[in-house]
Amino acid sequence: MKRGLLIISSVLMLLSASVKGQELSIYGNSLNGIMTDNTFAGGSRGISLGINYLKPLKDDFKWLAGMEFNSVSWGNNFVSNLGVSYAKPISGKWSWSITASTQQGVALFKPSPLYSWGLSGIAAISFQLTAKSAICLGSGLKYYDCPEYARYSLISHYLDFPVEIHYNIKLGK
Amino acid sequence: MTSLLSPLRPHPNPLFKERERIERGILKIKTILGLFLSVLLASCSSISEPLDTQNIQNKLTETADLITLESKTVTPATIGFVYYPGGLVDPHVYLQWQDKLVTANPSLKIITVKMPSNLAVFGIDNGIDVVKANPAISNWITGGHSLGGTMAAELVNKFPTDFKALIFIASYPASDILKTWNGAVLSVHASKDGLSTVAKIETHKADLPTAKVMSGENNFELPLQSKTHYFEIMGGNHAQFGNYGVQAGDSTASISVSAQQDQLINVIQHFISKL
Repeated sequence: MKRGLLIISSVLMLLSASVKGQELSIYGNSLNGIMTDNTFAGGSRGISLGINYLKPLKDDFKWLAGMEFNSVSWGNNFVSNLGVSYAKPISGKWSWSITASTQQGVALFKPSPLYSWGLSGIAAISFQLTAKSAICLGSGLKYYDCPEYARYSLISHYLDFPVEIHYNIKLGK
Repeated sequence: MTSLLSPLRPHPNPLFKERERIERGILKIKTILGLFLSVLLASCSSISEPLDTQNIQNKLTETADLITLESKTVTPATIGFVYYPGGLVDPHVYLQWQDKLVTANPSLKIITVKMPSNLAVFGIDNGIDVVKANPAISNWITGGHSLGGTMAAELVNKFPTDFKALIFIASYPASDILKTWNGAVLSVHASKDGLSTVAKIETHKADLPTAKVMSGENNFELPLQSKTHYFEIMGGNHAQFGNYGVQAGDSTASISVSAQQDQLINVIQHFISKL
């Protein structure tokens, strides 16, 4: 118990000491189909909900880590996000960003979940709502694959055109 | 004895206050993680047997939204069956009996609709797109297993003239929306079903057109229209209407999966032949 308290206190201290420039990004997106295994296939593919933590890396770059729950063609998925974001102001309260990330996780099946992975590239435009919050609208490409699901289905990977909305909160004072 | 952490008697030592705050924080994190894990576990779908072990004989095609089974030799199909899978099961779990049904009736094309999150409640109307996309087929049936059957009933309620028949498999409608529908209804259920129990099927008889209890797989009262034929598979259970193993809350079957599905295939085949 004492060790747990010590670890949590240390993490809180470290965070409070270096929160400058850090952000939390809560997002939802709608996945729109482009391609499946071999064929072009449009239509709505599902939705995602996720949260990312962004920390300054160098200049205008930030690295991000987070998690995402999504509903895709084979069912539900839970993945972790790891990636890099580059943002530049346009003018006033507006800015733009490009984010590239990779997803690693599981397709939620019983009796055993199946490994799934993905790649995504999103371009977004942001509007500063307050000093600490911004809203972003973005779109791009998202590829995801569940290799083991190919044993159970004729289709196991997809290329989608996501439309995302983010709510970003700056951490710290 | 009053607890040291009681809000009525705050401890004068600020270290205790800090400890109390951290403990509350840990409790909140544990609660959120617990809820999150519950959601993850509750959103897992039961998966089928691998395709290469299912020995599918007919033409199987798949898109991002649909799984289609049709005869390789008899084309084009003249009867379409829009099938809604049960809740939180992979839609491929029904392929084994669907394949045998197409073999028994090669003029039948079965189109299983993939549902968002594998829950038909999120795709009730998706079946009508299948009908519109296949104008060459003029005879349409819909139906499904468990939640899928309930949502297929909602589909028929929205598009009552597009379907000639509705097949419930271990399922029943959520309300009496189809009580006066003039199509043909078949309800197949199992005596050891622990989820869509015999008692529940019995209760919902009042929600469907006139009930006719069948004594055999071919014991239909003609014409089929405006009637609901009930066929009970003795010894079968809920999960054996698909190939996905056991299901929580279900009872243990006293017959094999193939014995249960053979009866299902026979009764559906006889039903379709009499439409």
